[in-house]
Amino acid sequence: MSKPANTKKKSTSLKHVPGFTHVKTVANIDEYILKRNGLRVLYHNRADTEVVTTNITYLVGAIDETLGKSGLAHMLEHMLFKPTKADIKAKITNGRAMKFEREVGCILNANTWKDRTTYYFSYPAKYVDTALNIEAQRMTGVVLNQKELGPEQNNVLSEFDMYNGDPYFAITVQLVSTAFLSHPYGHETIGYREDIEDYTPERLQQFYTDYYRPDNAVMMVIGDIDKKTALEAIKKQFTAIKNPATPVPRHHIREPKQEGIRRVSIERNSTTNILSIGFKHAGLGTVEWLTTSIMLNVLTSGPESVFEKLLVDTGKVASIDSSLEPTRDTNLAVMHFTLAPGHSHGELEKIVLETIEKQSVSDITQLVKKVKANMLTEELFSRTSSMQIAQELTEYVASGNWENYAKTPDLLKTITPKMVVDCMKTHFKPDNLTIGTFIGK
Amino acid sequence: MTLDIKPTEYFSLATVTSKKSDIVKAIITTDTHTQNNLNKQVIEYLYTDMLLSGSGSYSREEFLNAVNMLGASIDIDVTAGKVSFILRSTTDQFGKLLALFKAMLQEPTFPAVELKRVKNTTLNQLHQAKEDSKNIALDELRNLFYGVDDRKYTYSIEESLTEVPKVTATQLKKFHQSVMANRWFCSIGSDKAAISAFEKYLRTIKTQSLEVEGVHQPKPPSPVLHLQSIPSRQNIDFNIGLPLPITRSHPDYIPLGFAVAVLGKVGGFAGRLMSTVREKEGLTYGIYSQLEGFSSEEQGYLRIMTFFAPGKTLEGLTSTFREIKKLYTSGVSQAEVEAFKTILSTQQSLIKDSSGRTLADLHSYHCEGFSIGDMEEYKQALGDVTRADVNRVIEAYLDPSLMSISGAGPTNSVQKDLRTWHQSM
Repeated sequence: MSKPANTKKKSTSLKHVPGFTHVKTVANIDEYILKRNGLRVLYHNRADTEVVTTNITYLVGAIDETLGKSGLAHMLEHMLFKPTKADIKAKITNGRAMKFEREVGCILNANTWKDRTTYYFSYPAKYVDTALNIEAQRMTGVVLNQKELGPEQNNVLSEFDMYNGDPYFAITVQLVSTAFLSHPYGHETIGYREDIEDYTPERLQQFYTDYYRPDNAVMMVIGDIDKKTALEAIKKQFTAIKNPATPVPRHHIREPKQEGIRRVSIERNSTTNILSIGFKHAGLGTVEWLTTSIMLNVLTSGPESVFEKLLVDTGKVASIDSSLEPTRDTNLAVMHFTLAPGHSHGELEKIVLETIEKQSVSDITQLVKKVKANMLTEELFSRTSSMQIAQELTEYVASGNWENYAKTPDLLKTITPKMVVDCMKTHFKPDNLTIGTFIGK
Repeated sequence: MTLDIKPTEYFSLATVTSKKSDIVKAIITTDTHTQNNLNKQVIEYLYTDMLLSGSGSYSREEFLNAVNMLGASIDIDVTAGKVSFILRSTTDQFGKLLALFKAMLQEPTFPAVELKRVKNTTLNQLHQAKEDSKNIALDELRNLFYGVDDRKYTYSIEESLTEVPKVTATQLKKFHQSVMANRWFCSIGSDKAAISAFEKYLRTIKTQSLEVEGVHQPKPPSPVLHLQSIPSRQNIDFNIGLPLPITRSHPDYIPLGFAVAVLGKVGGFAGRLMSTVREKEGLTYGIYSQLEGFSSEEQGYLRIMTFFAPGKTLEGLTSTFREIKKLYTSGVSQAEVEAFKTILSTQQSLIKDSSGRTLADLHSYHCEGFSIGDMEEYKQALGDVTRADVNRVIEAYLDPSLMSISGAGPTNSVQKDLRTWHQSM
């Protein structure tokens, strides 16, 4: 009788870490909250690699930007690589983050997405305190002035031009802004060039104050480090940081109803011609999102897909590309068809929409089986490094429920060919479609 | 994970063994390069799709169906004469994947109807590539460094468009025979059982190991400014560099690689070019440098890759060349040498985070004929580099006045100014 009781006690004590509240453990990932300020922590052990990845995700992204302020979250991400107040005090000229990379050779980077901004380091385990100290300094001590902002603004404009030179990006920008009249997913994360040019330190400072705070962040520690060491290091660096008295500002925007196909086009001096078909879909972590993902693979991914066979193999289209973003709210997925010489946008649009309309369960049953098998294999491959695990987990964190990261393989298995056909019927209705044409002149 | 490289009569096998693994990744690479020509280059474009287009009793459709039903994949890459097969599957399906792979290699049918399809899709892809400014800038730079018979020379898209229709099934079969006959470098990451099955499979399929000698035509450096107008792009992609008269086996290769890392280590912000041209001056989003195209037999080249908005091109190139010149005239400091030793050592440690990266790293050394001992010795040598060595090779090889520039993008508005600037250098 005493043995099970002891086992239970041991299990409970393993979860208890002073200063933290244990929330849950799913698939060997522990969630804790730092009691002093609400910082959420996800911990996952990967033994025998000698490597740790720390990743802090702030729940702020394009979704929190209003008109004229597109791209602020992304610009701020760039500014967090500049020297912080503590760096200036300690005379660390290029900032602690850059110093860490330039002296140690850790992998460091950051990215901003629709619902989140993420900063990560991957490094030999002995540097965990250094990495966490940098994140703690960046959470409170960003320095925003014109001297630092100017060159970085130019870098972001250079980044914008890099993307915008790509016809697929250019048409996607127009497509999402046409698909969403009101919801902030209607602008790309990098923002519009004109907005980027107008950023000021004051505007960025307000955004930083509003969103960079412990109760709006999730810190992940994944790798070859024991839990006690990891959590104590987090407590040491973050426990003194307080939240502002005001709540995190959120814009609850409901997109107006769409009534019929929306259309947009770009004309450029180019040899490229693209037909882009966008459709709205449910957010990540839902069965609907996974069904949409399978549907998109069935239609466009690989030589066996419906449109590769119908359009690429027959020479009507040079290539097909598609995107389905992991976002919290309803977003726009896009299929890009790059026309082969001699074919027209209108001809292609007719073929694509008619083909989707006539897909039946028997047409796609075998294909769904294969897509699911491939996605399950990919899931296994994607969980073989701490950085990949952190990256995938980040999307689930931003979508509102990280537990779905663990559930995805099982959820995938529940999706049937009929669900995929139903998904086609509901997603490719005129009141859910936005169609774009990139016209090379 | 345990690493090993084991040569056998017809192939060599590198392994990354885990105690337990749900997945398998295997890579086979062979070098087919003899003498580059337009026909061979175009055959390489068609080969990957054609090899997957029918094997033995399988039609293309049946073969792809059989692979995908396993949730597995067979990818084929052909770059500059080197053919690589990449197999990925779960451990429990690996045996079945190997059986399909065997059919693909031993009984390819190259059917006429599929050849017609593949020619058509290839022509469409080539049309699409006409605006790929990044690749065009790179190809044009390398064409300045190597003769047409060299594997690093790339025939133009227009030339390829005329050659694709002429390719025959017989030519593809001949190319496949060379893939099967030449020595294979095979690497695998998984558990013992999967590795053992792979080795057994290789022993049944591989019965030849020809060593072929390829034509290598490096040219002496000559500073050229080559610009290609692609008006639809927003930025101009630039590749800057020069051919280097040493192979990977040369004692100068390691300090030279070290010097190039100090100048512009790829990834992150540690290189001088990133910290000045991007961080301080805000002239580009990314600027990196690396050594490319080296092997134990062939000489390679330095490549600096970046892009600038047309309005910042002159300033950007001036800034880039100022940094190269500074490196050339003043060399690296002792502090930089120490810092980069740590950086390169950390990079090696970080490979252990991922079984995939460990396998890729091992395979790259394996293909160069390294043993595990050679690889460890080589990595150790990175840590033994001295400031004097680095500065000596900088002076010997990295003269900015010998460097060429290849740009592709909206060049028309800046062409005149750039040519004047280039002449003044």
